[in-house]
Parts: sequence; structure tokens; C-alpha cells
Amino acid sequence: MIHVDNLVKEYKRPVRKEGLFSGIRTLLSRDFAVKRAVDGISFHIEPGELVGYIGPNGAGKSTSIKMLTGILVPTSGRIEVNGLAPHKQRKEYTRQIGVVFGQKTQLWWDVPVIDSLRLLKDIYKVSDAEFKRNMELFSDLLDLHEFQHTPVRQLSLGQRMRADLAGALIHTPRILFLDEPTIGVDVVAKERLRNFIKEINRERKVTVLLTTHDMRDIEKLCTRMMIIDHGQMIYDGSVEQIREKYGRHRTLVVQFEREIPEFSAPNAECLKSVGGKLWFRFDRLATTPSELIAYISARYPIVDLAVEEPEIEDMVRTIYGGSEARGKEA
Amino acid sequence: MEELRIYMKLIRISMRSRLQYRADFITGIISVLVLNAVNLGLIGILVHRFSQLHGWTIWDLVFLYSMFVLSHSLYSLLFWHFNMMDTYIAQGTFDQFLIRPISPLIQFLGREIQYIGIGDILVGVAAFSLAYSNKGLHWQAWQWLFFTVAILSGTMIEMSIRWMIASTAFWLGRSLSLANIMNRFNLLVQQYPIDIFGTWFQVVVTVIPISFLNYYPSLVLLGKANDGTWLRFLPPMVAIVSISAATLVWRAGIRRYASSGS
Repeated sequence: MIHVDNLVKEYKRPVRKEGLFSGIRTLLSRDFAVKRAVDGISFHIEPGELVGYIGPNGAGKSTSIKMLTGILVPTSGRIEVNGLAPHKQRKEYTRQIGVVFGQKTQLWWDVPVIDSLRLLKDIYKVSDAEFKRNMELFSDLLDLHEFQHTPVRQLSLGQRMRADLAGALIHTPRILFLDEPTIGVDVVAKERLRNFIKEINRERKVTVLLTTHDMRDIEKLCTRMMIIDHGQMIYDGSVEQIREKYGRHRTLVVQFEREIPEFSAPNAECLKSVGGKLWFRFDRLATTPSELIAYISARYPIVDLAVEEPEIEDMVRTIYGGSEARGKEA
Repeated sequence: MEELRIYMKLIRISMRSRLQYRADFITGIISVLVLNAVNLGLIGILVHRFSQLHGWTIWDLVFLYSMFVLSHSLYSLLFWHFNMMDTYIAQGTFDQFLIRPISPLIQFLGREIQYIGIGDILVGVAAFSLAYSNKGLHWQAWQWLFFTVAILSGTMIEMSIRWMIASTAFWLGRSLSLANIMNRFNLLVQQYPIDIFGTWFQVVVTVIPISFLNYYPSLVLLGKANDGTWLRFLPPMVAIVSISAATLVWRAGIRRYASSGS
């Protein structure tokens, strides 16, 4: 469905001149600073996939999304979505996609949500039946009816995001691009947005590509994750694989009867100790929790214990860190 | 046609948004009336002192002024929003026009119409009527036709110039200073026949064809051209060339569009 081959986007910025007529001289000058925001990315996405696209700030996520949606023209490389080249066949292409930018609404600011949606109905030539069906879905899953007569500028951020999702889906697109759809939204509203995204992916087989900084979005929604940094793809695979590759370490948290000095066990190091509570980090391939517990309980009486799974966020930080180091070497 | 229908709907939405700020609407129109009254008053004082200006009487000048204002009024009503385009480009909000199956130009222009244009229309019609009756003109059909075509061509010419200036923001980030330079030229051409200026100025406002809004059509309509026949066909031709040039710059600009971070 989405084919991206060796995609590159370079930003050429003229080097600013100083002094008299600086504007004109900058304009006429041939000195450019070239920045490669996206540096040779390739991937394929199958119909119905729900893919998380992550990376630190400035990694090239938004630039890629903007090329995929046809807003930016690639410097080189190829994008083909459903047989179409986004920026060349804009009219045909934009009918098939829905886009949400978490940072900026795509709706009309001063008028009620429903007016924006009706206008989009006309723009996309959505039939009355389809419009009605979609509006019912949005009422069911997004409670759109609660605020559809409110102007966008008066909506809470969570409501605005729901309205934007409705706007992006009013023409029943086959592909949905979500650029930070949960940014700034509170926990409850986030959960509801996630459920909605999951639902339309499952029920309507909408292919979804989403960027986020919240790893829980990825955990809850995506089976596949693509990580980009310095404009290059540094990981593309299942979320499970990431756990296996980068999540070999677990932490055993043990509460003792009384305060005890820090100590280490075989194949496990003690990370910290607070008021009789100790954290042991171990590699689950080198030892098992039961071996560890047996070793510890033979020394001190244990009151309570828990095994902590590594947060995907930590794993991703490890991966970002690795690419940071590589970036510095290069 | 489909796009025009959407444009009307977009305008309706923008008008509904604007009506929430009614005071702004009324003061806008009043300010235009005052501004034009001052301009015309200044011309009056000037001509009163010298009785005429390089062969142009007071009513010739009012006629010249009215033609400019009429063309300009339609431009400012429908296309004034071009002045805002660099902000959309610099802030990356131009993105929104590229993700819908309607031409970005229609979507952009549909964002806003400028009510101040209504004030210009009032001034233009009043000034034209005064000049027409005081000069004792009795036009034939071809003159009314030429007049109408010239006004509409003038609107398209100013639109194209502003469109092109706005499009430079795709490269420069901002187009405000160019737009300001243009405003200066506008004001001079609007109030004075360009033949009172030096050759270089006449060349500039003919190449940047702002003088086709009023000067050249006035030569024809006031019988000031020795042989004005060929001049009659010039305004629509200049309009077509201007629109074509602006379209090319705009298209190149969209390919160059860089959006903004995140």
C-alpha cells in the first residue's frame, strides 16, 4: 500500500549575509547551507497495518509525514501510495488519505465543528448516506454530538483532537496519517483517542501511520514500529522484537523486613536501596527470578517482591543513545 | 465550476467567522472612506493652485483616481488575502491547503474576503460619477465596454502582481517589504498621471503593469492618446500575461514549499 524507496529531503537555506542590503544579497547569493532532514529511508506498509513512527525531536519524522501526505516534494527517492505519487497527483491522492496534525487543527477555527464537517463533506463530495453513517460512528466512539455545535476555538484539546479525527475520516479514507495525535492530551482523553484509532483500524481496515512521543501509544496500538534518527531508519520491526532484543533485563524489587546494606547477587546487580527496599537488575538469559529469590531469601527475610518489565521507553532510549553515539563517530 | 462552488461555501464560512467582530467591519469601511477623502482633497488643493497638472484638469485626475480605485476595490475585496500568505508560509499553516482535493489557491483565497473593499467601491463609484458629469462625457457602447473590460483587467493585473509578490515568500520566507514597496507605487499611480514623472518611473510602472489600472485606459477614455486604437486591446492582454506569469511563479513556489518544523 505504501512504498517508500530511498527517500531524501534536503533543506537548502541561503546563508544570511550581513550588513547593507542584506536581504537582497542573501536572495542573490549562491551560498547555501544544506541540511538532510531525511536521509535515504525505505519501507513498505501493507494494507491494514497500524505502524508507529518514532524518533527524537528533529529526527525527520514530520518531514517524512509531510512528504507522504504530499505537502513537501522529496529531494530524491520515490513514494508511491496506492499507486499514486502524493505531490504529483494531489487531487486524486488526497481523497484517499486522512491527515491529523496534533499541533495544528485542520478545521475552521471560529465556526462550530459541524459546519467544518459539512464543508469537508462538500469538498470531498461525500454522499449523504456516507456522511450520516460516519457521523453516527463519530457520535458512538468519539461522543462528537456533545460538542459538535461548539466553535473549534472553544474546545478542550481532547475534544479538538476528536473533532480533527472526525474531520480526517469524514470521507472514509483508506489511509490515515496521524502526526502526534495525543500531544498535550490528558490520560483519559488519550485512552479514548487510542481506542478510537484501534477501532477504525480493526473495523474499517484503515491503514494507519502515526508519530508520537508517548511510548504507551505504541504499546497500546502498534504491532510494528519504525524508529528514525538523524534522518535514517534505525529500527523497523515488531514491538515484540524490540522487547526481545533490548528488553533482556528485568528488575526484581524486594522489600525486606528491616533496613539492610546493599549487596549483589550472582548475575544481578543492585541498582538502589531505599528504606529496606532493594532493586536488582538481572539478565533473564543469565539467571531466573526463582534462582535470584532463592539466593536472596536465604540471607534476609523477604516481606514483598515484584518483577518489573522494562518500559519500552527505556528500550527506545537505549536505541536512540546507540544512534547518538554512532552519529558522533560519523 | 465545482471549485467555484466550494469557494462560495468557504467564503460563507469565513463571513460567518468575521461577523463575530462587527465593530471591526464598520470601522474598516469608515477608515477607507476617510483615507480616500483625504487623498482626493490633496489632489484638489494641488490642482486648485496650478489649475491643471501637465495637461490634466481636476476632473481628469478624479477620473484617473476613480478608475484605479474601482479596479483596486474588486482586488481588495476578493484578493487582499494575498498579503497574509507569507504568514501561512512562514508558520507552516500553508500545509492545510495541500491536503485537500481542491486547488490550494481556491482554499487560500476562500479563507477571507476583505470588507474594506466595499468602502473602495463606494469611493470609486462616487468619484467616477462626479468626473463623468463634470467633464460632460457621453459615452457610446464601446466606451462603456472598454471601461468595464479595463476595470476587470486592472483587477486581474493587481491580483497577479500581489499573487506573485506573495509567492516570493516560498523562497524568501517573508514578502512584506516587497508588498510595501508596491503600496508606494500604487499610491503614486493612483493619484498622478505617470507622464508627470521621469522616464524611468514610467518604464517601471509599465513593466510592473500597475499603470494599466488607470493611466492607459484613461488616455483612451479621455481622448488623450493620439492614436488610441491599439491601446484599447492592451489591458486584457496585459492581464492575461500577468496571470500566466503569476501562475508559473506560484506553481514553482509550491514545489519549493518547505513547511515548518514539527
